Amino acid sequence: MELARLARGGDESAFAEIVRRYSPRVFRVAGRFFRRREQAEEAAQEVFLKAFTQLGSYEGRGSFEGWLTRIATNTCLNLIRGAKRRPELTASDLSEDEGALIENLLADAAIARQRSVERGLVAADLAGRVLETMSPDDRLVLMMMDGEDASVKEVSEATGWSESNVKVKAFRARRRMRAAVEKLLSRGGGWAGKIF
Amino acid sequence: MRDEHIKDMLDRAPLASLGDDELAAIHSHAEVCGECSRAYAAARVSASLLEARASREFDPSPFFQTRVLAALRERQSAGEAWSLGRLWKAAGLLVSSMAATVAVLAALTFVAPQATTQQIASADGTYTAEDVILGQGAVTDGQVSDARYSLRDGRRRGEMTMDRVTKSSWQVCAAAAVIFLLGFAAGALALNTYRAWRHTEAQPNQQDRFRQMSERLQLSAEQEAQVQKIFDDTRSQLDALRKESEPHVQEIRRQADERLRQALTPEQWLRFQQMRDEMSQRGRRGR
Repeated sequence: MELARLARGGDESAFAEIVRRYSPRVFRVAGRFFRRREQAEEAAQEVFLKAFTQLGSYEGRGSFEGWLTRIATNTCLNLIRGAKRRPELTASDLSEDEGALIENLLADAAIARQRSVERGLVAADLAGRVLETMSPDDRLVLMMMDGEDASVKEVSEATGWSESNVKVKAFRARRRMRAAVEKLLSRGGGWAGKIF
Repeated sequence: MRDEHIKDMLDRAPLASLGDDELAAIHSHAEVCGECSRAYAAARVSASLLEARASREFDPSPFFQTRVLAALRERQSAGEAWSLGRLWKAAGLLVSSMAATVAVLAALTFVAPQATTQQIASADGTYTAEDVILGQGAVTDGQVSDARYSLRDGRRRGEMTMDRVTKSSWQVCAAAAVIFLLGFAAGALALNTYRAWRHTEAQPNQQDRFRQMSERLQLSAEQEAQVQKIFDDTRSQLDALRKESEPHVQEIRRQADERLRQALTPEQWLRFQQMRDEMSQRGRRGR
């Protein structure tokens, strides 16, 4: 890739163009890990700084976007590995909006599909809070496979994990996410009857 | 169907990817099993939450590119200050002289003592202690005996010293290496400090410039105080204005860049940015 070659040679404008062109992609990766915009932007900046120092390792065999995605994924994983994990959430930690959202999700799956913008934001925020109680690897695999419909192969390429390792991690992550959500469902105690 | 089997099905793949047969099996079992019913409800809520979370995306802010480039420049300048390459460049001459010093020290340590030993051995082969002492003239047997003992003792001490020199040769090497490294670091730091000091001296600071102006205008003490206050006020006003307008200026620049980027081909856009950087560097140099 011409831009990468120019940037490697110290051409700052070429690197600026790389930042402009691939920012949306890097922000999408960072968004899998960070709930707040400032955190995602901070991580995205770190990704580009790291990519700049590692430009020499890009040999032009695969796509530049794939190479950058891998750097972004690993950088974000390392950033959240260094951060403290939040304690697990319980039903009493839910706000009124979040409680209502869960009631709706349980009452009728169709409501979730026809959700309003506000409900979508509440759901996204609650998902972020639940994910913050989980390990970085769990967060990544759940966001990619269950949130974005990524295949095992795509997760493997983005992380460098083997495909069988991705499957094992995904299985365990789903189990842990399900267990975390079950703790939230005990609110009111009457949810079981609303499922069917 | 056992409970564990249903939970395995829930965890093996994303809920949305399960086939009709699998969903039917889960439904039929969940209707009669409370534990699996809760598990299925949690799986459905999890899937909905993750879907909502994935649909929320952050767009880069308009200033993101500028911010990354500023951070890159900052990191590069910080890294350059301490890079080994820079140290090496700064201290090349000093390192050469240190290497020469170490070579001389090594020669003195390893070559000189061997020469002394050879001289002793040669002396030992040509003359005996008795010859030496008896050749001096009239001496008693006791004096001869004392002299022999003294020479033997001296030779033994010399040999012991050489043994110690051989055994501790690795220590000498280590010491030489440490001296070399310390010298390198000290020299590099001294040179960098000197260059920084010279650079600072070469650039007159604000106070110097003000003093020069005051001398040329022959300002009185009272006028100096007034002018200084006017300068200070103006500077703080301009700083405030710059801070206030910076986001607007950046936004205008970003919009102009965006329009230019659309008007030019990617190659022309790159070339244009290079030309702009060159012009801006020339402008900075010409100031």
